[in-house]
Amino acid sequence: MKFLVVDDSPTMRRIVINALHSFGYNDVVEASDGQDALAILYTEKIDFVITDWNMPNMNGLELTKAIRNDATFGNLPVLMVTTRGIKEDIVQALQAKVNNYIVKPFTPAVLKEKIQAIVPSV
Amino acid sequence: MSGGFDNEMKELLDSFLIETQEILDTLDQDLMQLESQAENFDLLNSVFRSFHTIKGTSSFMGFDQITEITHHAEDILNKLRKAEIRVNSEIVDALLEVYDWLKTLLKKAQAGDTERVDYSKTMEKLHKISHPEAATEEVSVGVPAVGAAPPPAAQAPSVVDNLLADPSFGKKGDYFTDDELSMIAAAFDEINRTMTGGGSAAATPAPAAPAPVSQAPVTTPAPAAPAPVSQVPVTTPAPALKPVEAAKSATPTAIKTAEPPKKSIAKELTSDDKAKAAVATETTIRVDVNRLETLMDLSGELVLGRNRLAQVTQELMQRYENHDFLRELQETSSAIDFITTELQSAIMKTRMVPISKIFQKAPRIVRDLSKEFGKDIELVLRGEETELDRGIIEELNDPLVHMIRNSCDHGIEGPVEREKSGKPTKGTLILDAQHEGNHIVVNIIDDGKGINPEFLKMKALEKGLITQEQIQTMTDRDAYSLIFMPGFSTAEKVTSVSGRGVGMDVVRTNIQKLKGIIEVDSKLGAGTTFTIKLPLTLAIIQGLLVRVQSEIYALPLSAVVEVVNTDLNQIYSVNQNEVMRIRNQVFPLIRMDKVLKTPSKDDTLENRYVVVVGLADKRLGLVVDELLGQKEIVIKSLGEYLGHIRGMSGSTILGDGRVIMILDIEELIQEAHSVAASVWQQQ
Repeated sequence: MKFLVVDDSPTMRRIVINALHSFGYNDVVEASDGQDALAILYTEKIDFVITDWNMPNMNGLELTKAIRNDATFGNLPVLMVTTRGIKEDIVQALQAKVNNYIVKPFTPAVLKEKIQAIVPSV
Repeated sequence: MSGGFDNEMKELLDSFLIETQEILDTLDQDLMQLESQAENFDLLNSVFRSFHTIKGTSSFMGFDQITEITHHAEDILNKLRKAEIRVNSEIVDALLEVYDWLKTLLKKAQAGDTERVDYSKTMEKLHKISHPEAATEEVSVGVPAVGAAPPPAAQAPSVVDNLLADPSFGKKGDYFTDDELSMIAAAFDEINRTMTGGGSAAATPAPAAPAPVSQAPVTTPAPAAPAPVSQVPVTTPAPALKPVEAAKSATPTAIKTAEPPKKSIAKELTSDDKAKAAVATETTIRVDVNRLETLMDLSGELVLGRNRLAQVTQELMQRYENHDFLRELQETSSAIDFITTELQSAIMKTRMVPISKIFQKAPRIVRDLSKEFGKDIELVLRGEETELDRGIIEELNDPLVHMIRNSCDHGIEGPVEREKSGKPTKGTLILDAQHEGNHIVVNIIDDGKGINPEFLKMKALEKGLITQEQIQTMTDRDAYSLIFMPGFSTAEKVTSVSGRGVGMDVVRTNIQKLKGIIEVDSKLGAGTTFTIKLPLTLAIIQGLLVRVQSEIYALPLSAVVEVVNTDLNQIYSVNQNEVMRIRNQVFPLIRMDKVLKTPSKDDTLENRYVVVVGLADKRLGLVVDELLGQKEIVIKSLGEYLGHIRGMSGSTILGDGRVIMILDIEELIQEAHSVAASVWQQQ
C-alpha cells in the first residue's frame, strides 16, 4: 500500500506521514502541490492519495478532478484534508468525487478511521 | 519509545518554526502590496494560503492562540476572495496586526513560553471587519462528522446526484443540518463504493471479483454504513477495475503506449519531469552555519598558500630564467591562483544574503509611521539585491531600522510644514545599497528639514556633553557627530518612535562593531544623508600595507578614508597633541613610529604620509613612512599565547612568508580621542 501525501506545507506532510508510519504504512511519497502529485502518479504506482485542499499551482480539488478524469488511475482513493467543514467546500468535494474528507486538526486515530473507511481491508 | 516520540515532536516543532518563519518573512510585504493591488487575485490567494497554512499546522502543534487568530484572519481573506468585502487600509492594518501577533507568538513558541497573550483588541477589529452587520450570534463550528451520521432518508439510485440536485441542500443557514450531514455521509459512502472498489483492489491481495466490492462498506468497522444505502444498486464497479490493474503492472512508458491518458493535464510526463517536480520542492538546503565557517577558514588558509606559491614561483622565475619547467610551474600557479579566488568568492557567496532582508522591513515601518505622524512619505528602495555577509546583515538590522525611524520622525516634515517651505507635500526617503569594491555602501537619504548644527551644539552644551570651548572649534561635520553621543536626543517631544535617548549612539556602536564607517551630510532645509560603509565580510579583507620604520603593518582598507601627503601647513599643535585639518575637518594625528615604539631618529614630518582612517563618525590621521600597496589579507587571530595586544586586531602572513600585524583602528581611534578629550577637559 503506497501513499501519496500532497501538501504545500512540509510540516503538514510530516504530520500526516508520521501518522501513517505509526499505522505501519511506511511506503509514502510526497508532493508539494497538485502538479507534483500528478507527475508522481504518472510515474509511480500509488494506492492512496491524501491531499490538502489549498495549494499553489494546482489545488487539491483540481488534482482530484484530474485524477478522476484519468483513464488509468481514475478510481484512486482520494482523502481530502481541509481546515474546516464549510458547506461550499463539501459540496465541491462531493462533486469532484473525493472519497472522503478530514478536517484539520485531526488525531491519528481519526485519520486511520477515515482511511479504513475507504479501504477496509487495510 | 517515548524518546522516539519526543524526537519526532522536536523535529515537527522545528519544521513548524522554520516554515512559519519563512511564511512570515514575506507575509508583511505581501500584505502591503495587497493594499495597493486590491485586484491582484494571485496575491490575495497567496496571502490567504499563508494564513491558511499557519492555521493548519499550528492546530496540530497545539498553539491554539496562533490557530485562533489566523482563523479569523483567514475568514477575512475568504470574504475578500469572494469579493464580499474589498481591500482597504483598515483591513490591511488589522491583518498586519495579526502578523505582528504571529511574530510574537512564534517567538514565544520558540522559547517554549506557553503564557497566553492578550490580543482581544485585534480580535475585535477582525470580527468587526468580517461581520460588518451587527455581530451575528456565534454558532459553534459544526464539523460534520461522517461517522456519527444516522441512517439517511434518501434511498435514491445515486445519493450524490440527488443530493446535489436538491435545490435546498446547503441553503438552510450557515451550517449543515443533521439531515444534511447524514446525507453527506451517505454520499461519501456511495463514492467510496464506486471508486475505491478499484483503488483498494490494486493493493489488496484478493481483489478482482466485483461482488465483494459492493459489500465492502458493510464490512467496514466504521459505523458509517447504514443499511439502506448498502442496498443501492452498484452500477459501475466492474469496469473500474481494469485501468487500475493496468496501472499496477505497467511501467510509466507502458502506461503511455497501452492506454494514453485522457486529455486531462497529461503532458508527456517523463522521468525528467518527475525529477524536476522533486527538485522543485527542494531547491535550497539548510546548512549549519558552523560548516560554512569551517569552509571560510579553510579557504582563508588556501589563500595564504596561494600567496606563498605565487611568491616562490616569482622568485624561481627570476633565478632560473626561461626554464621550460618553470613556465609550467608558473602556469599551474596562476591557474591555482584563479581557482582559489573563484573558490573563495563562491564560499563567501554561500554566506551572502541580499540586503532586501532588511530593506523589506522598511515599507511597513514607513507606512506605520506616516500614519502615526500624519505625514506623507514615499519610500524608494534601490539596490535591494546587493548582497552581504549574513553576520553583518544581522548586526546592521537594528541600526538601519532605527535610522529609518529617525528620518521619518525628525527628518521629513509634515505636509503643512513642507508646503510652507515650498516643497512637495510628499516627502521622500531613499534607501540605497551598492557595492563599492569590497565594501557595501548604504545610504539613507531624506529630503526633510536637514540638521541644524547650531541647534545640535546648543543642545549638547545644555546637556553638558561638550564645553563652550569645544563649540568654538567645531565644524558642521563635528556638530553632526554629536547625535551619536550617548544620551543625546534632540526630540522635543517624546514620541513612540524616537526621542527616548537611546538610538544613534547604539547605531554608532553597532557600525563600529562591524568595522564600518558612518557619515552624516546635511543641508538645512533640503535634507540629510547618512552613509554607512561596511566591509563585505569580516574574515578576508582588503588591506593597505604601510611601512613604519622597518616594520610592515596592514590596515583594513575599509577603514581608510583617504591618504594624503603630510602638509606642514595644515598640521597644528594643540596642547602638545598634533592635529591636522583637511577641508575644514580637524582630527588628531598619531605618529605610528612613536605609538609602536620604533621612533625614527629625525622627528620631521616631511616625506611621510598621513593615512586618514575612520570608524563610524570618528576620524584619525596615522603618520606612516611609506605606502606599500593594497593586498588581500586573511585575518588570523593572535592566538591564546599572545592574547590581546593593544592596537592590534590580528596578524596575517604575506606571500613571502613574513608575518605582519593588522592594526586595530577602533582601539587607535579610542586612544587618540580619549587623549584629545582629556586635553579639552584640562583647558
